[in-house]
Amino acid sequence: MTDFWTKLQAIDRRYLYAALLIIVVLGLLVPIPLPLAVGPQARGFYQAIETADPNKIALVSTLWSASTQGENRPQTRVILEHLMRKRLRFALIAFGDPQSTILAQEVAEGLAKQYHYEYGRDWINFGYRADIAGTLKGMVKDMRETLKRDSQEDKPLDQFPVMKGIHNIKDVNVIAEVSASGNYASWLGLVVGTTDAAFCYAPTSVMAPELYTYIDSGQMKGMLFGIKGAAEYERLLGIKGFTTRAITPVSLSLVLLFVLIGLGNYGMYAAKRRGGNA
Amino acid sequence: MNLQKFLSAAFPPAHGHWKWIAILLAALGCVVLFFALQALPGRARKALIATMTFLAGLFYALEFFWPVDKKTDENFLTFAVPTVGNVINVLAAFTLGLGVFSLVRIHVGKVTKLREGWENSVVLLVSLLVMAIAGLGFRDSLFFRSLFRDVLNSFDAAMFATLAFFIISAAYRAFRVKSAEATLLMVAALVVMLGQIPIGQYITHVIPEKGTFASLFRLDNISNWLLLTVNAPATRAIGFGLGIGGLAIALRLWLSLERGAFFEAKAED
Amino acid sequence: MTHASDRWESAILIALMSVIILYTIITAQRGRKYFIRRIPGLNAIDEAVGRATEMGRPLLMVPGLSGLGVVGLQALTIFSYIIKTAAKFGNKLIMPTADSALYTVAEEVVRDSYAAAGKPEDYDPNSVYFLSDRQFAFASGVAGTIFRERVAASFLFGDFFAESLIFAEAGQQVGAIQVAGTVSTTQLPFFIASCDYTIIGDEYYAASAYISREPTLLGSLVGQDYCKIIFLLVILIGVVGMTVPALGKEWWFVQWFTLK
Repeated sequence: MTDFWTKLQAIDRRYLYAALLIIVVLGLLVPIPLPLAVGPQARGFYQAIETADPNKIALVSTLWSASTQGENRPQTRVILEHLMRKRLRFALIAFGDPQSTILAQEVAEGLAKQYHYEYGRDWINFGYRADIAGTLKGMVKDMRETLKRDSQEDKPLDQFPVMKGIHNIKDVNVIAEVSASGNYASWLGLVVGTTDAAFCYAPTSVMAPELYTYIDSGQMKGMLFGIKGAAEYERLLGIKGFTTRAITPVSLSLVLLFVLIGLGNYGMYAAKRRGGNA
Repeated sequence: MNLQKFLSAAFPPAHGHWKWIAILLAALGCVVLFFALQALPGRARKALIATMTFLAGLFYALEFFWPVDKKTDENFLTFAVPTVGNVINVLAAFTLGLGVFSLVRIHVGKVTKLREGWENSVVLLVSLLVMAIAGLGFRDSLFFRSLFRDVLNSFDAAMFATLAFFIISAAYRAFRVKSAEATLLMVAALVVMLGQIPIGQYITHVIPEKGTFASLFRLDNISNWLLLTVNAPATRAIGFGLGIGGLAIALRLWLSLERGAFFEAKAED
Repeated sequence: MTHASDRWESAILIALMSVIILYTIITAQRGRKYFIRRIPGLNAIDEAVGRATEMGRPLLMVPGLSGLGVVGLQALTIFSYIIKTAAKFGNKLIMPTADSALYTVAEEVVRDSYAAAGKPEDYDPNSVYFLSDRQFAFASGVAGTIFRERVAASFLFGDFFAESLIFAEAGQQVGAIQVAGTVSTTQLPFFIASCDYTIIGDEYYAASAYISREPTLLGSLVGQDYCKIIFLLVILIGVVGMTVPALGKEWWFVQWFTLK
């Protein structure tokens, strides 16, 4: 029997993987109806859009690909949904990964039908830009001159009603970046400080702890902490979408982790006691 | 006359036949330069590398520190930044060719000599070829979209998803109560994790979210406090150290003070 | 901030720190002795190389997704020292890269390191190769190599993102001794959980000084410490300024460092 307890400190990883798989599938099939408390960072993000100047445009920058879409797609969706509910004009732009612009466009088009948002009149896609520093520096001074054309219809920006009165970064009310990587340094270094626009970030969970520094300094007004942040935002918007459902498997996975950590420690303790008795 | 105007006058854009002649001359110049560099003795080569590195670094340092015209936000070197950026991009594009060549060379060698695992190399070479043909010749076709979106994206997402499994096994091994520090680390991690999920938040849900002294003891509030008050300063401190370290190595590379690291052995032949 | 004139205060700090670092480098080169401690992660390098020799299995060196910048070049500097040690014992070496520009420099560095160790004939051109610049294609390629070659030691130095844990867990599964160092703070927890030794924060940039004890590098390290003292003083004065009611936010020192 002692052997069984000592073995707990080195459970074969295949059992761990199988347990996780079962937990995730179960969690998706049977959601646990527990409310999620909304943290101050998600609230800050929500407030930034809620109080945005309707005469200006929101800028949604995306830097994610298929690999992190589990977290970044719902984040993009809730941000765009909030903008559309508030009837705010918005522009998409992508850096770092060309795939990002296609994926963000898909999300926006899906929601645009629901909220009767018309491309060119209510929203626009500036497309993928390879040179982030050059583009941001240019946008601070003159967005039309820097970006020139949109990515969907390949027309000059002047031709779109959505660009009416929008010339430079001072005409932007909110800058939201949804990212799987660390693009924030470019925004902080080149744009934040030149404008009153609220800068908010939606990173993957792994990246989020790094950003608390900028939340603390006030340079970021809000943040969505991975899929949990998207679920908080859904709660603020009063919708029960994918992330509200997905938070159950996330919770259960962490519970599994706690159980495994407990078992591992008990196994270590049992082994020590056995060694001591021997 | 400023530098930009002088350079534009000295090297006017070529048109028609002259454009092709200019390209040919540039290519020939590169070939001659390549062989001239190969023929240089070690010491001269070292001096040349150091000079080129210094000049390249000096360009960016001067462009950064030289005061700018407030109207245009530019100084006498700013006009050249995109061009220098393009030069870097062209160099990177050539190195990509070298990289792919190295990959193909290694795997073709493996296949022709039927070394262990040559079957994998065949799959790699076929995949490389098919994707290159699809990307270059059939970019708007269903074939390319299918390869890119359905195959490559699915592989990407699957690889990212494996992280969940690896995190479970790594955390299971790592969080052991072996010392006081390890215990503290584990407790902090558990509190942060519990504070992030509804099941954990439920434990202290009877406490009001904010406004009372007791609210401080809600798990989600403790978790947020740990992230904001303990994690953020630590991250910031690491960031300071990294920034200064980065500056130091940049200076050493720029002024070629780093001995024995890059190309030195070869240069001392 | 794209030009010094955007924030002269930051530019002055950068210039001041550069002067301090250069001064300590020059004094070290002129013979001034500086003492620095050794760190366990770097002591483990010899142990890892020795173990690979005993087992007759290869050493893996991964510069992560680093491009041709200070992070990638520092990774190569560290690898260069490891290769010189490994060359003496005739260990097989594998170095996959994700950046084609870094690959070309890596190839040179490996060849030069063998030459510096007096074993130019042992250099295998197939040991350094470009794999893929797509994050997870690179990750799966490296993980596959770890499993197939059953590497004895794995050195992970450079810029890492989500793929860090894939490498570290694959190495763990084949029982490799693993030493990691990265500037990506978000990946440090994964390395700490899965690797035997992890180099944290600016130890990454200090690693070459620790290993080689070269005066230039030692001087640079000491200069970095002086710069950190400046940072610390700025923070302390700022805290005092913000705490003392007579000074507060409007005090020139606080204003000087406030983002406008």
